[in-house]
Amino acid sequence: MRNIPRLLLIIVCLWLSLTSFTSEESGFNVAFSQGDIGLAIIANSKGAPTEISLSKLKSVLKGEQQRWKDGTKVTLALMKTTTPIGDEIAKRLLGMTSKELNKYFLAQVFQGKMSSPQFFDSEEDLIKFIKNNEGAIGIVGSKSTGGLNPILVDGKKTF
Amino acid sequence: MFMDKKILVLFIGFTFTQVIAQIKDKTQIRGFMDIGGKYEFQKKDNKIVNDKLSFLLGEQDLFITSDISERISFLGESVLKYDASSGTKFSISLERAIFKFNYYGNHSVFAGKVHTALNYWNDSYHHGRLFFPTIGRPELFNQTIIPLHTTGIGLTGENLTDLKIGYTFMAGNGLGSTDILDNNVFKSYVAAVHFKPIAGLRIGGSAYFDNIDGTVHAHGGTGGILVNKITKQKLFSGSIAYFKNKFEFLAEGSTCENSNDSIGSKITNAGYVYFGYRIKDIISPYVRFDKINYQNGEMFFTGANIEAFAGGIRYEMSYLTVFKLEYQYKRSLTKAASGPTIYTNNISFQIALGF
Repeated sequence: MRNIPRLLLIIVCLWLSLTSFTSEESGFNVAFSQGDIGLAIIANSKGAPTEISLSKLKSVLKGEQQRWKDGTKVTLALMKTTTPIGDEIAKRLLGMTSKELNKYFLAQVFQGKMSSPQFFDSEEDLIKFIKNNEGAIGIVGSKSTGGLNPILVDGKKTF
Repeated sequence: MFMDKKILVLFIGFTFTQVIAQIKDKTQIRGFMDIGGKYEFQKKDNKIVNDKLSFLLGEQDLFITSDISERISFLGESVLKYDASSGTKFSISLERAIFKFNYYGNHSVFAGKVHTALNYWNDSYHHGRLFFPTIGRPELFNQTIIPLHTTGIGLTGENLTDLKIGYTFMAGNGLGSTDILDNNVFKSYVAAVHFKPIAGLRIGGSAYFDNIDGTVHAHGGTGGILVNKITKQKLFSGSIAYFKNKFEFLAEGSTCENSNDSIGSKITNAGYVYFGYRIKDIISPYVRFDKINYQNGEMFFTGANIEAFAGGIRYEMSYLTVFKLEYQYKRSLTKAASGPTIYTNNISFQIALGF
């Protein structure tokens, strides 16, 4: 029992050092957060449907559907959660914080239940990826669809 | 002719580099590691047998995923961990190596070494302490009641219909076999089904059947008495998991029947219940209760009857860094009537990392 104070002291030191490390990281994320970003769903011409329900879209984004109806593999293309759009997608579409979404994808891949989504820093790169990869689907700001026709979500082009 | 050969070599070289580049793009290597410390105070029949603080290295887990083609994927997981029997005191073990062919929709056929899809914990967390809601595995897994790994082939499906049904059916080398050779003619069979009726909730059930050779110890363990008789094992498990809206609930139970000509039929019941509550998304206090009960006369499992309580707090600093602090009380009662009762109190911390 005499070792308990020593252990507690070590734990408190660890806690304090790790807490100071993460507060900086939280600040980084907060600086990026914005609200009310118009989003549009874009996809490669092969695979994805031209219209989708919001519930189905959420399911696709969570990696629950591995193939489109024509058999093409679903490939997710998403903005990194450190970008305003990535953060917005996590919160508005999937009801998770950025941290939760990253952990969710890591866990799903670790369990072998889905392929890792492709993450991008810029919408230009994401659009280029979607154009070049059959079955790819992604989300961009409603003003930057790169000439691709947005998929209607519950009948709407943007949401 | 010479030019043709040169062009052919260039063409092959170009194609090869393109293929390698594509595979490289779709191959990921990730890893997990945990380090920690434990203060243990242990009493055996009212005599103190342990009273010290230790720091410890956990497992370094490397996992590779690769989309080899549109329908073929590979997942490999290898672990470096402390091993007293090794000359370097560390050993490498191949925990998972799974070839998967997605033949239709969400249905796939797989082959290789997997974590047996019997329980939520074993099917979801594997060796990634980063994902564990508590510091260690529940006692159900520590006591070798669950066959953690199986090498074989099977069918699996995920998120079928609106109920999001998932299934795994598998045949594998039975208990006591190696990853390259079955030790007898019997195969182990796994059937597991789960469904997710609402977001965050998963309900599952599974069955495992094996005829175990008389020269084999319990699931991956080294304990147990060699009964020299073929033991028929039937293992049934059920689980309910709910992780949503700040609430975390996970309950699993297994009942195992071992029967042979010597011991007759003996039942082991084991399970645990976990509750957690997320505060401000990063801090989660939690508790877990474990209970294992072996029927008198059970010979295949040597573990003691266990009652344990764990309470702790989990602090998620980022999605790749989790700090846990936990107290555990455990009472172990050996099966022999005259055997000792061991009381253990642990205070542990763990830093679990992903990279």
